[in-house]
Amino acid sequence: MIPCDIHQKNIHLALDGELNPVQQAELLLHLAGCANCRDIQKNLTRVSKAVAWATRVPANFDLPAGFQNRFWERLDRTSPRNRPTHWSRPLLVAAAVVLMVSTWQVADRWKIASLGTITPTPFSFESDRLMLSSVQGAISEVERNQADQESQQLLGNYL
Amino acid sequence: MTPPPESFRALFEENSPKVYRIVFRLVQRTDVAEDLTQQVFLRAHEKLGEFRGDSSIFTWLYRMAMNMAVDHLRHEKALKESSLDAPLRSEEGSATRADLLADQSPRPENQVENDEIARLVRKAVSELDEIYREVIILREMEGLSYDEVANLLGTNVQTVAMRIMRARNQLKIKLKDLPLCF
Ligand SMILES: [Zn+2]
Repeated sequence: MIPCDIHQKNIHLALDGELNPVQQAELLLHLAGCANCRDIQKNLTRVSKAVAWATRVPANFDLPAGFQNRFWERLDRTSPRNRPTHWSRPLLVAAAVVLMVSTWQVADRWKIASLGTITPTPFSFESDRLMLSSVQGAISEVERNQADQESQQLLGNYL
Repeated sequence: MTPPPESFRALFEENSPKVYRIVFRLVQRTDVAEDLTQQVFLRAHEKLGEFRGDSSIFTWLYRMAMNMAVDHLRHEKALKESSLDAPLRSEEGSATRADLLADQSPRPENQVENDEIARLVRKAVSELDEIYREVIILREMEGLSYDEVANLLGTNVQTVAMRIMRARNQLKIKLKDLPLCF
């Protein structure tokens, strides 16, 4: 015969759906004839239901709208250099543009003669200035686009 | 060591809904749950380099979240702060705690009293030792099986079963005078 203390442990397992059908049947049989274990079962069930009731979440529970953006903004305020947003992308694009234009200009200056001799063309301040302004324009455009996107995102959160 | 930004973003996006839900279960206020969840991830961002991998990353976050929520509960004043008018959601026209508690409550005739009873139940959970509190939250609130709780906490099923029994027995004593009509 199974003693009461084992049945009392099994009451917890039964509440948690961790008893097999045979153990469950044995417990039910015991509870039918033991007022003390029945009382314990009643109290433990009450505790279990109370905890579930007091801590339940509404149906379709989800993060509040704008939760993630508000977090990134807060992280930015506390640790702006580590913000894992897309800010690095326009800078990478701008760096790539600078690299491409520079490479193109260096190649342009070094005309390769058909016989294999290399003749550098003279440097032109005018062409350097034009190159610089086109790179600056590209960087500004990328930054402007990024700023527009972020503004739209922020507005989207509050509208 | 500062974690790579993109991996932190993935960590945040994957785990923040789960952390937020568990915190909300204990504090029952969206504004507080959001603030505490954000604090968890701010700390995670700061301390990720110290994470040793002894447990899963979610367990690490979960324990931080529990400690913050419990700390909040321990300092929460009675009905004054957990007002029935406190919005559940930040959006206009959303449900209040009174709406939430209106269904399945043990004493539907008195919502103010229900609110206070619910607060006392959560407080009782918060007062358990951490090893008991974490298993009861994962089992009773999140509905995980013993096996799932054991995996998450890096322990075995027997230990989980024993801790749940002790947690529930302690709660039985703490809640014995509450007028719960389940
Ligand atoms: Zn018995």
